Amino acid sequence: MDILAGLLLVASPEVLPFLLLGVVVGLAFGALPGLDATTGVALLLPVTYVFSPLAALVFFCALYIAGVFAGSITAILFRVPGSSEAIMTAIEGHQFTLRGESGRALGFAMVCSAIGGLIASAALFTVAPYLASIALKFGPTEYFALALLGLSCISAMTAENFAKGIFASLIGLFLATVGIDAITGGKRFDFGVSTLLSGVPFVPAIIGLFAASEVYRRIAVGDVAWRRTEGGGQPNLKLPRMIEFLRIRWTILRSSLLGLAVGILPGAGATTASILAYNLEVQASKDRSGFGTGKVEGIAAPESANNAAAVGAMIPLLALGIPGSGTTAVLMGAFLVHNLVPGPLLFVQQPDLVSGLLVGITLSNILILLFALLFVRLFARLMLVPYPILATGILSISVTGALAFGDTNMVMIMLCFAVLGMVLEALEYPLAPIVLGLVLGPIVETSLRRALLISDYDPWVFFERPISAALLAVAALFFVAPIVRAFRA
Amino acid sequence: MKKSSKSELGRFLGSRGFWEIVFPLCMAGLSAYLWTVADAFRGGSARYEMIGPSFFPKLILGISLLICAIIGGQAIWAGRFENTPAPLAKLRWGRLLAAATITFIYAASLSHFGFLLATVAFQVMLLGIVFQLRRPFILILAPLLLTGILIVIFAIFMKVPLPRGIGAFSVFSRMFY
Repeated sequence: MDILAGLLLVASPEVLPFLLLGVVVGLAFGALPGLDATTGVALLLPVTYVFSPLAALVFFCALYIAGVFAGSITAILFRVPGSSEAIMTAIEGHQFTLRGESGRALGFAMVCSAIGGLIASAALFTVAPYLASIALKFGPTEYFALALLGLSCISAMTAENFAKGIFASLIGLFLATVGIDAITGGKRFDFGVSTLLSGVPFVPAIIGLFAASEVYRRIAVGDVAWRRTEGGGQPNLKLPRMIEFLRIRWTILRSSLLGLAVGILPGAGATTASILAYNLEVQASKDRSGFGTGKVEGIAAPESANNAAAVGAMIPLLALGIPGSGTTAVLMGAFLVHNLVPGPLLFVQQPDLVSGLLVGITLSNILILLFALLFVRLFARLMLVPYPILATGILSISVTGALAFGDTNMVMIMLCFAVLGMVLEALEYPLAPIVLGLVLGPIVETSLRRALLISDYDPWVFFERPISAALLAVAALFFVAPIVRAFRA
Repeated sequence: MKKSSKSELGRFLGSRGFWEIVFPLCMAGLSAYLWTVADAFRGGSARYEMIGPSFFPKLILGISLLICAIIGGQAIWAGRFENTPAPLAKLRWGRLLAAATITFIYAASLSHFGFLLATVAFQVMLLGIVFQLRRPFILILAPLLLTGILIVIFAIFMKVPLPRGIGAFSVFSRMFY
């Protein structure tokens, strides 16, 4: 692959402006709750008919990658995940804001996202077709084991009250069953509401659980005085110092590799990658006590992983013509619009386009650093706004974000989740496991049922395949270890 | 004597310990009800008889029942309701109910009055009633500005089809987005 030719193509006046524009638009879409990179690509697809194929594809890839990072800006500042990939960052990163260290958290998020994306880009250049073929060996048993591994982080997150953590995850898993059954096509728990046929919408749910519920909680406890938000002031964006960066180098590396691996798997996605990376980091850490209260590793892991996964999802698309995520499925549409068919033949028939695209993806990760500085400053200024105005804005954005996903029923669903979040928090039930259940529920259910159907209801099928057996063993270890530690303590 | 037992009951109902027991009980009841709902799901084919659409929900609901029993049992075993303070009683229920009611009315009125008018009214009510803001200038300017920004970003730039309302409200909304 000729990297230099790709670089020259991307640096040309016909392509470079679209790369820059893609990053800016992606940051805007990603930072706004309710809008994400998938929405951005879908909305702007018709606009790019007139672009050259490379300009259009570079624009969309830049939009996608920047959008995945940008969700962390509002997640850290306001505990409002701009996109689902930033859910773990919202939990860990907002603690920094409460301590007045939002600039530090944003700096780490930016750098780790960019590095995660760059590590995955390196894989894109070198071993893309090989990695994609390995991913295709994953069957339902492996997916089930992988999802269980993701769920195992509940025990690490809620070791002090494991039963409540499990119950919260069961709420998420149950809500994931609402709608049309993926295997039989039957309706489940829709109660005559047509909106629920397509399932519980994820983004309105997390907006309600985390953003709106926090505003209602503060109203309920009377913490709504006319003053700046906690940690307010002019937040100074602080990029990590070299010594801080070196301290988390292994966190970034293992999370990026994990994110890359999960991103390549069709259907797993960047949100799953960030959850798994956070879990891995908690398990790998010598001092687990700080997680959930604002620990650098708690931001570095999910941020490296989600951007690596976003780039990783491009590997099966480009190498095999199989979209690995919702956004890459829409991206595939962009290829088809320009009369291009992604897959092995693309590398042979359009080598310049492929190398230009790969260089564009790599540069997008670097440009995130540059443009995110502007966006972070813009959003950080919102911290200067007195809380009543900010709370009104957050509730309005929550409603608008929910509306972006459909009709006013989405707003009602968002409000239901806000009430649920407030009640659960009042009774000290953790909210994060609900999100885990909601994200991983469809993977757990469909892969469990498919595996059992294929094996003629033989439960040993999960232990007969080496990858799934190994993943299950690790999941069991992750489930049990924190509980044993808590009992000992 | 009667008054004393009444205040005891009030303290008990206001304590978090009470809700620590009642909440899992309610959830157990809800799980049992949803189990009966799941009972009605049919796979449509003999192939899915054993692992049909109700298999996974029932598995989840069954485990939920068990976990609810454990959580409730833990609360009773620890005797939490006897000594714990009553954080729920300290909440500002009036303001919370006002905020919830205003948001609910807002959500319900969006399709009738359109996003623009409904959002401005919602923000004015929230700032005035819930946050008790008494500065007319901010009370009017902030909602207009916030709503304007939302419309520019979501409706004009991002092409999100925000509700326009019906009749005259639709005509009014179309003047802006």
